[in-house]
Amino acid sequence: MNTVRTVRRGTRPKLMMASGVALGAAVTLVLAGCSSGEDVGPKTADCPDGVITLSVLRAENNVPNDAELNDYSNSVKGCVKFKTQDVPFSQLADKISVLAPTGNAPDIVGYDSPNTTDYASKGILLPLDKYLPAGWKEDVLPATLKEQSYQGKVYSMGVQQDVLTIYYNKDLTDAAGITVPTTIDKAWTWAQARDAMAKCQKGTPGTPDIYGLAPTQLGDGTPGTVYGDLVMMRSAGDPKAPQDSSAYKTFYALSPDGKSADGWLNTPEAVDAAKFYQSLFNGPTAVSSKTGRPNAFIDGKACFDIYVGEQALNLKKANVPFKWGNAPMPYIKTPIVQTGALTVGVMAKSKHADAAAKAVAAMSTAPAVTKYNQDAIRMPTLQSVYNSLPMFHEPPFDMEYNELLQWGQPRPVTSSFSQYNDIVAKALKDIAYGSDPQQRLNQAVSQLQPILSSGR
Amino acid sequence: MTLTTTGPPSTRAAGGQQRPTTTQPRRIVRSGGRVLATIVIVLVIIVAFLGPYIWMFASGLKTQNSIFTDVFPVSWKTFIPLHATIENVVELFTERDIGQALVNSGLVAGGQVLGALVVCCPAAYALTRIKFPGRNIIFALILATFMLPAEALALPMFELIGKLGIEDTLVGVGIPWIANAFGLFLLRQAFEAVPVELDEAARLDGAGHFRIFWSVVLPNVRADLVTFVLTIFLFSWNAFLWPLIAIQSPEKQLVQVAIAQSVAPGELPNWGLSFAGASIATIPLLVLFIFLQRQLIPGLARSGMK
Amino acid sequence: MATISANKKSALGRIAKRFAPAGGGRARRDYAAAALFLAPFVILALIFQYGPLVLMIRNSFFDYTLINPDLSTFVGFDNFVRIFTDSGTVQSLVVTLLLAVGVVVVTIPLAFLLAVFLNGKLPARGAVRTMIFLPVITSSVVIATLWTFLLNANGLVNSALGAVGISPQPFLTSGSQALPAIIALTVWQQLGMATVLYLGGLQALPKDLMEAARIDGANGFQRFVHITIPMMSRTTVLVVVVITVFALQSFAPAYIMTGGAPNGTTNTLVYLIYRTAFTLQQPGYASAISVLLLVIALAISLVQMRLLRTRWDY
Repeated sequence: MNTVRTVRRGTRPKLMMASGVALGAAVTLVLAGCSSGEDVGPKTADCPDGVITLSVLRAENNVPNDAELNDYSNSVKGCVKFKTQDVPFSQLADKISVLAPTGNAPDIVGYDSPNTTDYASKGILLPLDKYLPAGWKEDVLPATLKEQSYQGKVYSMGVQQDVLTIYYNKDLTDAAGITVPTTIDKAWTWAQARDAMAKCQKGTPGTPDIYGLAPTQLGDGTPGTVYGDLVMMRSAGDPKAPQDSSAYKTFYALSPDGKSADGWLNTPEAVDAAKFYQSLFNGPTAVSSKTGRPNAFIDGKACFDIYVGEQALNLKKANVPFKWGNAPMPYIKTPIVQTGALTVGVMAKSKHADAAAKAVAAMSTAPAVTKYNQDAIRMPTLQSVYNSLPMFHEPPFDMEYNELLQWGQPRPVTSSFSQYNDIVAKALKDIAYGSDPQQRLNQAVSQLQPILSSGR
Repeated sequence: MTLTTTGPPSTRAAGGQQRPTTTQPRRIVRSGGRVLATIVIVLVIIVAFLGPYIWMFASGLKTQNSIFTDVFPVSWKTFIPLHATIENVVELFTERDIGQALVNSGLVAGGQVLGALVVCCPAAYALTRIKFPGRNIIFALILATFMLPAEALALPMFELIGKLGIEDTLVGVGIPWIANAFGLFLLRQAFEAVPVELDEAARLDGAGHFRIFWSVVLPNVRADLVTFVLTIFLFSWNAFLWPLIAIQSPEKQLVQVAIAQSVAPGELPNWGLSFAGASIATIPLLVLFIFLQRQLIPGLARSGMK
Repeated sequence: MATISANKKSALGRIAKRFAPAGGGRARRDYAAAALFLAPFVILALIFQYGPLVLMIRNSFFDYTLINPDLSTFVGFDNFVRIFTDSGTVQSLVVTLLLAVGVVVVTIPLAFLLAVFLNGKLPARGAVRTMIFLPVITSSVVIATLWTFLLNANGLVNSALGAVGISPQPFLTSGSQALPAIIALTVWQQLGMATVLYLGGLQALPKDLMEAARIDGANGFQRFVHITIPMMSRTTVLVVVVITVFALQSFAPAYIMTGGAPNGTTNTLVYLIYRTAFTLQQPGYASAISVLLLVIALAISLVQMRLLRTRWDY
């Protein structure tokens, strides 16, 4: 017995140290678990109802941002305070659906606007109609109003719009002898755009030294987002064609009642467009990359880049050594951009629904929203705000605004948007990686159909 | 088996049976070859295992752009931050509150370690030192929980801690994994290695189970306890999906989740931040490991003996 | 379980007597002590392991959404039937099994040889052991992130290949390379643990047995084949079980690196479960897949233990 003990004695101090640390940690752990914040403070002269703390769930670096929340807090003399929780954008929808039914649901949520139908139809968002300022409905962009309403009620007022334009590195395009269109009536078709990209690209297609088209900055930086890439397939359709034609259906990519994708997402037009889309990433026609390369455009490693208005801000911040501009989105048959951006809503279960709704309404109307649009360089959703901000009347933002007004279409409207978004994005990614477009779109449709028709 | 009769001469020589003087030059060649092979194997291991880590640590101290320019072509610059910048690290601490997350992870891991010690040691004692009917069934049922993928259980677990009213607390994130089947398995192996004669001797002295447990068995498995502590700490520190789901308040976030925000799945990664975040999440364990590996590795190795 | 709780009650009444000298009723006192010693663990395991398990099994018979869990319908075995009619799920099952088999097949010989190598006289043994153990102590999130960057078109591996004149490989975007890449990553992550377990086994080899074989004229190779390998069979069972369970639970690579692409070739079961429950809002169906995964993990472990034991037991 003694020998065994002696042999192992050496480890004792370390073990004791470890246990000591663990003990201390456990005590703190228990204490930390017991303390919980009170969400209504004492009544004061300034705040007859006490100080209310509202919890906010939002995508990282997005609405409602700290500046908006602080400004509102100050405007009500500090009687409303906020407790924020940031999650990465890609986890936002999952997080909302996990939290919605629990006692931990936030009061205010910054969410992606195409989910409005989903959340509203399941009763997790509070209608904001009685908080809308007079004249708001006349002032707001029709696309925003449509996207953020459900069965005639408004569930979110919208604070921003974002659309894609195609940025170009003027030094590189000039060197390649390419003239880039700068007004939306001269927009390229995708065939023209791909030729220009191929002409400007340097090095082996697939892994070039200078990309024709920068690997996307949307999503996880690899191809296949619904927001950025489905739009190409939709542009192969035609809204003016007869309503039972496949051209018409291609343009909408989902039936108007949101219950069917079959014959909408996998039309012959969409399949052809998907084949073209595939050619951007594969073989000798490749002008972009299957894997990501963050900031390729800003680093001067790409001729073109499809991105939202934030790009202008990033280019200015990086103080890039080249000249740049932006061109309208290329299309196949019908020019189109998809609308919708992160927006702010109130959870129906909130214990402080009234205070939360007032805060959201205040943050979504002038002057708060003017300040936000200006600081964050996000396009306004209110016509009056747009008129008051000259910067949005100049390049590169005038292009975005024109596209928004003339080409803007909501993303497919369905109460199962997060499922639609996920399944279609995976199909697009596989097509970019080389899957058979026809087969893969059919597969996506067969996965989607039961979900859509059950309306979950 | 033909192999028993036909061994190559060289292996027989190495076996030390017949060693004629004529094989001397060959032995030198052979040992020269062996040294060379050893060097090659060690080099491959360095490249395959150390290389990525050095790249990770170095890149965390670079700007995103210089990470790319330094990768192509591969050179010593790839692995050395020539113009080191701590801006990634600073951003993680100031804007993403990694400091708080590190503290939280330390608390949860520490709490889990302590809880697991308190719960698993007596259980391992009962399973190895006391004979009672159904012992093996109970052990099998406990071991079966090791097969439960934590990710698959995350959803009902979230439901459960909601019902218990401990959602969004550090307790809620830590307590479900205290009854750790793998930990118990490790301890059971260790306890079995302590000779039963010691128990018998103590029992003759009038000791009961508690005293045998406390003063006979535990002192003899100290080294294994270090292994156990480290293993539990490791599981806890590295857990990702469960803390992601279980914690909502930012001030209670754990380090892997905080890191994943700069490495966000489905998010355009900023390589510099991602590398820095990955380094910060790894370094505490690395330090712990380097100090305690003399206990950890033999401890884990012992679990492979039986 | 019933005996335990019954014994626990009697145990509480006997705490005072527990330290009394041994004599009549020792067995009963033993049961009481066992119950007392096991109780904390068993209670926690019942609540936090079996509790969610029961919830999961119950959920697998319902159809509902996370966002609105009160609206649920009992669907019997529909979710289970759906697993085998849904080609995506069947593919995911195949992918996961391929991953597990691939990882085991590569890791076992590699770890074994590495352990033999490290068991010999080697100057930098400790350092080498530390290096291969690094991935074991690194979180899956960090490893998946690191490997995303290693295997990127602009990543370190392609750059290194380029330096020796090999054109860039589409590791994570090609249907034929993505799963092997994930297997390679998992092997890299698990090799250290497997090697250390084998080292332990090698060091526990009875020296006198080796000596006896040597005296009987067995050469080094023969001793390796006829003594070392069979004696390692129990260690192998342990290593195989640990690695298999680990591979079956693979989540971070699919979640962080590939999203299951290309064409579902890296769509591991646990990732499918996560995505089905959270993104596709079908937690009932996800629970059914979880139940299946659990059954598979248990079955594989039992079969492996049984097979290897009967063949090699000594």
